[in-house]
Amino acid sequence: MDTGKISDLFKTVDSNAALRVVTIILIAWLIVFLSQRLLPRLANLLHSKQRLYTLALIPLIRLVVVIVALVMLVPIFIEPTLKNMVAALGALGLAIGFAIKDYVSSLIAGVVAIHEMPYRPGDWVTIDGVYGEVTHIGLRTVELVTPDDTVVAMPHEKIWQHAVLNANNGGPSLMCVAEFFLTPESNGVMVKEALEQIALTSPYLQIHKPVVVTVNDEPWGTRYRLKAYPVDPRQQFKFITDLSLRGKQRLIDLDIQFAKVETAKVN
Amino acid sequence: MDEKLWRWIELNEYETPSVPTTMLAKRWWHKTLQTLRPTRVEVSTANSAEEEPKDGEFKFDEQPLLDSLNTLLDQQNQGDPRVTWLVLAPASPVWSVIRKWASQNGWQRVPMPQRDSLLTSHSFEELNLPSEPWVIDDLSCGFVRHPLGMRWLQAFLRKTLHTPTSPGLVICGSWLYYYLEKTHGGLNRQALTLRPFDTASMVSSRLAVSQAHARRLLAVSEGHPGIAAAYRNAFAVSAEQTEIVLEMPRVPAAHGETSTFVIYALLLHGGLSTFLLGEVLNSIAPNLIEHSLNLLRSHGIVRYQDEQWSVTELGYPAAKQFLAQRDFNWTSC
Repeated sequence: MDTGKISDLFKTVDSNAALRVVTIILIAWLIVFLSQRLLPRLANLLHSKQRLYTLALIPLIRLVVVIVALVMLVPIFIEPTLKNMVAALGALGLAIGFAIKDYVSSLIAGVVAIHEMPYRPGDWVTIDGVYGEVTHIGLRTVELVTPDDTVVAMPHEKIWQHAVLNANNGGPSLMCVAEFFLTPESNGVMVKEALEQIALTSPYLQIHKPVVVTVNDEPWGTRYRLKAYPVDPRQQFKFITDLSLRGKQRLIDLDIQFAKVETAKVN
Repeated sequence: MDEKLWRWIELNEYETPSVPTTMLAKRWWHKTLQTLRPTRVEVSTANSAEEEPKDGEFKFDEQPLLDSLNTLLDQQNQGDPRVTWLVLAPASPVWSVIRKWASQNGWQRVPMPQRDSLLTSHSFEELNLPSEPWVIDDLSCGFVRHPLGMRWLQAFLRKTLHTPTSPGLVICGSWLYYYLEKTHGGLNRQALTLRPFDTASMVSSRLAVSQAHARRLLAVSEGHPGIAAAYRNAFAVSAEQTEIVLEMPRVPAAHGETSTFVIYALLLHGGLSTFLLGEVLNSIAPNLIEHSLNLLRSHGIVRYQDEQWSVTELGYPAAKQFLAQRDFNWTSC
């Protein structure tokens, strides 16, 4: 395809058309900008499902705005005939194939992510070994904030190769686990009952969800896992801390011995 | 007064009466304003519930209530030794008549441990239910949401699982009932509650002075007669008045998480001392609890009376809405 033929695809852009282009881009940018600034603020004032639904609107609004803007912009530059579109898409495919393959892969993965929703803003996910809350879904990357308050920009294209582990899957239910390592002689029934009481008396507990204690015998002792749900997923670390601290105290009061693992033996 | 004003219904039949759309819209608008301006702190001008009772206050006639309890428990056939649970919303007028009813009818009150001792006693005496009809006039007295504070209540629940030898009546707060139902595998017991008031009941009970007043009272109280009575007493309204404003206190958004826990704990226990509130919320810093209590008190949501913190009657609707926004809407009534 020679340069002359490619340039034939494009219309002559007069000042009127240029003004329309600028207006469309400005309006699109303004809508996206406002939705990205205002909706997270509003969402942080809300709780539970309302918060998650509000956050989920942000990438959806941006996708719709980008598509509408493109649909309005393309006919300004190109006469939308079949021949022209095939030629333009061919040139575009060539550029993508050589120069911006990864970038476009992430963009497409971003669209897939909005459609299939492996993660939504407000979800707690693990992607490629990084755990955090999804705070922003951009065109190319998803932004996670880890429990240590580190912001991680993860390209959407990770969803092609890596499993996405979603702890709450768009809802307010997120299971928390507090672990207790005790000697094998400990009275299992008493420990189980005591740990259940600890969960039932936590102010963070979502009472609509079950409280479960699981027990595993290990070479070094017995592992008790107290599983329960907080009312708000954002409270998960406070909830686990509350369960762990009060659980330990209760077990100490009951004279239950904690397992002391000698590292050399484990190794 | 309407004889059928006080009617007992199955708990699962309870439905909050519908509120006129205009009032819902107003409430939504106020809530939105509050959400968008969370840092704004308004000191409520609503009359504080800590004030002394005034002369001429509206009070429900006790006799129809006592009669309704008689009718209910006659129907229950006293020869059938079953346990009936009466689930009451905070400020329900039944709280104040139940002891009188029990002594009039010879139902024996089951002795309950002191609440403070629930956390300190190593063990309790074996719970023996009387052989004659018995009543527990406030189940929350035997409960503190603390690993040590649920032992008496759990022993009681185990005891009543087996068929008792005599009929029993358990009076339980709606918040506690719902908590027990969810955390103790479904109580699966016969639970009854008072039918909520509608506008007609508000007028026929003389709680409301006009239809417009009844609609307003219904909107703020969601059909709870005790709450409606508190609003009637707090805001004087004449029968000719058309523009009626019943100002609800607002829960301040500051310290939202702590306030949520404090309000829920107070509703669950029907009021708590400062010491027990600290024990129930021992994972929250005491200074935060104190700050939250003072803030809520200044807004008329809670009060401190007889060394107990509790949610005020006027503050209950706002407190319930506040909890519902945070997914703590854990009771239907």
